[in-house]
Amino acid sequence: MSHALTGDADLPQEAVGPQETHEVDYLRAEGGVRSWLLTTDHKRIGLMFYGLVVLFLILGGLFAMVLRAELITPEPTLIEADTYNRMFTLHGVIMVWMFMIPSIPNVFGNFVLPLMLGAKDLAFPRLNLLSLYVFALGSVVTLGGAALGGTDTGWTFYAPYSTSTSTAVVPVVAGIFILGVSSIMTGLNFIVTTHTMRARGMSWTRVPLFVWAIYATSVIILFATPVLGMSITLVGIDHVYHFGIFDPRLGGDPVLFQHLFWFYSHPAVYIMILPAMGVISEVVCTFTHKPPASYKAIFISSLGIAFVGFFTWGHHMFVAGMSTFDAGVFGILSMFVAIFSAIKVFTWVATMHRGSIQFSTPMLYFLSFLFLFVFGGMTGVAVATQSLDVHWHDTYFVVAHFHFIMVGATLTGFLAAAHYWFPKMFGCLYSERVGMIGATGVFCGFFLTFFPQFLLGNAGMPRRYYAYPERFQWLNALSSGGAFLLGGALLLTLVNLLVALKRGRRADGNPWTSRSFEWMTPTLPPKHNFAVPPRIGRGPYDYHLTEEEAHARVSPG
Amino acid sequence: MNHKHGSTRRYVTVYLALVGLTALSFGLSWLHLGTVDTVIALLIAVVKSTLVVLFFMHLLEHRTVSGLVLGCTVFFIALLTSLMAADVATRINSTPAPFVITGESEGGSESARESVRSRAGESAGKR
Amino acid sequence: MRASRLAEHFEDLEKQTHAARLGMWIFLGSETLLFGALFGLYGAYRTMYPQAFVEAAAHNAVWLGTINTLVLITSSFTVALAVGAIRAGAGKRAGWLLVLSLVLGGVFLGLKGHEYADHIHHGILPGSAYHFGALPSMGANRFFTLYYLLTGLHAFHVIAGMIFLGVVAVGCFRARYDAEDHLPVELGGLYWHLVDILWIFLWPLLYLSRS
Repeated sequence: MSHALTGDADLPQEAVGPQETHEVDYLRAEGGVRSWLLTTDHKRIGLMFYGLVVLFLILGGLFAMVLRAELITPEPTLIEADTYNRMFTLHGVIMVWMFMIPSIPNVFGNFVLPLMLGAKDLAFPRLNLLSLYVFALGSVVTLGGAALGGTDTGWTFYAPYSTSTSTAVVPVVAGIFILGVSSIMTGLNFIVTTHTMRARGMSWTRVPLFVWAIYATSVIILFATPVLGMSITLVGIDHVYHFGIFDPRLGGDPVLFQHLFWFYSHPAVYIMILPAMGVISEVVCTFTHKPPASYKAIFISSLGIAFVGFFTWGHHMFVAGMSTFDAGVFGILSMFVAIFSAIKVFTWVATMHRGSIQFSTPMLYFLSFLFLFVFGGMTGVAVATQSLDVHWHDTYFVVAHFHFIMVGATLTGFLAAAHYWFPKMFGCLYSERVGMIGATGVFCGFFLTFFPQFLLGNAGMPRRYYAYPERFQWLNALSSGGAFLLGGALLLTLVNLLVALKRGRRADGNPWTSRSFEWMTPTLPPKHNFAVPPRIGRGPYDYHLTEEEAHARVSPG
Repeated sequence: MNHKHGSTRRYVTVYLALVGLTALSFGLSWLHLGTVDTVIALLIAVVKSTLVVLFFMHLLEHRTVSGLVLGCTVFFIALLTSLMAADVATRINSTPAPFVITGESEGGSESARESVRSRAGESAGKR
Repeated sequence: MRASRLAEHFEDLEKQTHAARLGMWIFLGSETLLFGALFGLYGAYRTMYPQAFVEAAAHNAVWLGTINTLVLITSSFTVALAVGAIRAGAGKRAGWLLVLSLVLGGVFLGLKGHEYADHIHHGILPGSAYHFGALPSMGANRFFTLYYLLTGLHAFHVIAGMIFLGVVAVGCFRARYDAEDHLPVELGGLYWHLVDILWIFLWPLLYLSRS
């Protein structure tokens, strides 16, 4: 009975509980395209999201490669200046709304959150499927806008330029609005699920840290996204009917657009980073075989970041004409985020202390996350300081800073999750050696791409410029070289995982000997995860228990 | 059935209170109280919506988490509005470029701009 | 009957009901933030043009706004009564109360439409089309642009709420709900009360300022 929920491949069949013998796994439960397109199974929906976001990562990445190739020389190299503007806009739009925001929550959150909570599915499975289709629709509309010529405003759509440019702003902002609806649907689902679908015995202090991170993320999604929706709608409808709400000729104030935009888009940074922090918290515990140094510190700081993240939007606007009073307020409030982030970093480092560290690809990604996140976070504190920001604002320094967070931390977290949960999702193992080479390549490529950009920015190179003085060329060439290395390493990682999908060794139930609840289900969980709702009798990081005890305390019924 | 009658009576009471508060707010608006006018009206609106939330939306019967959602909503709107307004209020010069849109009556727009300018001067003086 | 209502992935009905209610509350909270963006703009522009806002608000027909406030409060009341009725198992009564609320919603939209027509007649249009001679300032333009955005968005919600209530009312007449099983009625009611609450705040902001 004690192994009723493991379905461990090494165990003989009789060890599996009688009530769930031969339950077909979710991939083979039903066949045919229709069973996928109309599924309400959170795991299948997660996989479909996976396919989409990886596609968009590749697309956004290709744009980045073209941009970096263009910037190798100070003069025109590959593309026209106008194309360049549209391309960096699309790169930003695709990466932010079509890759990063849905990436970890909609793929891995969808897949493992119910498993972690001991639930059969999310609270609203049909809403979840709808979210997928709305996401697909939003992507089609956005990319349709790109096909119509795209827009050249940058991903920030600052008024009044965005309301007066003749490029295809309307379809792009309409697409983003639809993508926002999708992310609200998913966020709502996660919060309700966490509140109402926890298995018996799972008190709030037994909720895995990844779930806490997704929960905090969902709070931000729900309360910030509508404000973005409204602000870009105002920009969009200005092209149809001239409301001119931000038009100075009608008494409007463009700075107010920036207020609304950053009220969403600053917390959106935490929509991107918090799930990655959740992944990292799981990875570090699993691969050091230790409970987190402080469970409370991590989950409280997740909620703290979500909350304080709403107070800091003005630090994007220090030189935009905002009052010095507001600038001071926002400058001070911004520092609080650093406190919570630092609490997390120290807790992760302390978790490794005296742990039995198992060196593997996700662990390698954890280490690079730690380094890049601290680097990105510290420079964030620097640019949130008014006096310094005046110098660095709108330069490559800022570009480098937010790529350290968005790529260095979020993409790294995404890759860590992709490797960590790979056996859970597909039931097989990837090549650890190639995975580690990929991880090293990603780290080196990334650092080489963006570290020179700090120097560029500090030397005064503005962001979004198509041409630049010759003295900046060597740093730009270095950065471009790094970008190609990063692209290559990402490709290697993708190939590694795809090959593993075809020929990977079959994984047993719990390849990382983790104590977390999602690993207590069969390797490939059946359609409704649990035949009988489980009863949780321990925390998710109880590494002091023996393997048998740990399984026994997560029992059905 | 008893329970039902009890709840109906409560709904009626709440409804009468809402109408009464609306009338109060309407009456106060004729007293020309100046700037506190809107503040008082908004406070009455807060009381009214609290009544609706507690009794019509049954927040009293629900679990605390619904209240938490409500609290977050109110808090974030207040945060956004107050910091946006604070930005405008504390700028040295809060008027955007002085264009005139309708040439029909220069005097009107002139006086409006004048009032803004004097207010901007005021806030600059305070600092 | 009871078994069919419980979805496969929920343990019991109580959890399922709790989930649906919480989902609705969160949705309403998120929905309100959509207005939040406009409230933010209102706050900022009112601070920028205090005098013009008061004058422009005074131009709005305070009687119309006040009658509409009473209409919506009354409709909120009848919706609350409808939920009370269905809780007591009186489906027909709940249905008629919902119909009454729909009529009140219609009256609200009618008065709103009348007001819009009147404004348009006077040249009070949003944004660049604004050409109202009596209040030509940019501040008044900002006020009326926001007036259209706020009331327009609110009217959308009124229409959405009416559709929601209409569907639920049909269900009441067809005896689809009873004293135990009436979650959609409650959820529809919650949505309608939000529409009411939003108007409770729009009324003092857009109508009540006397100069």
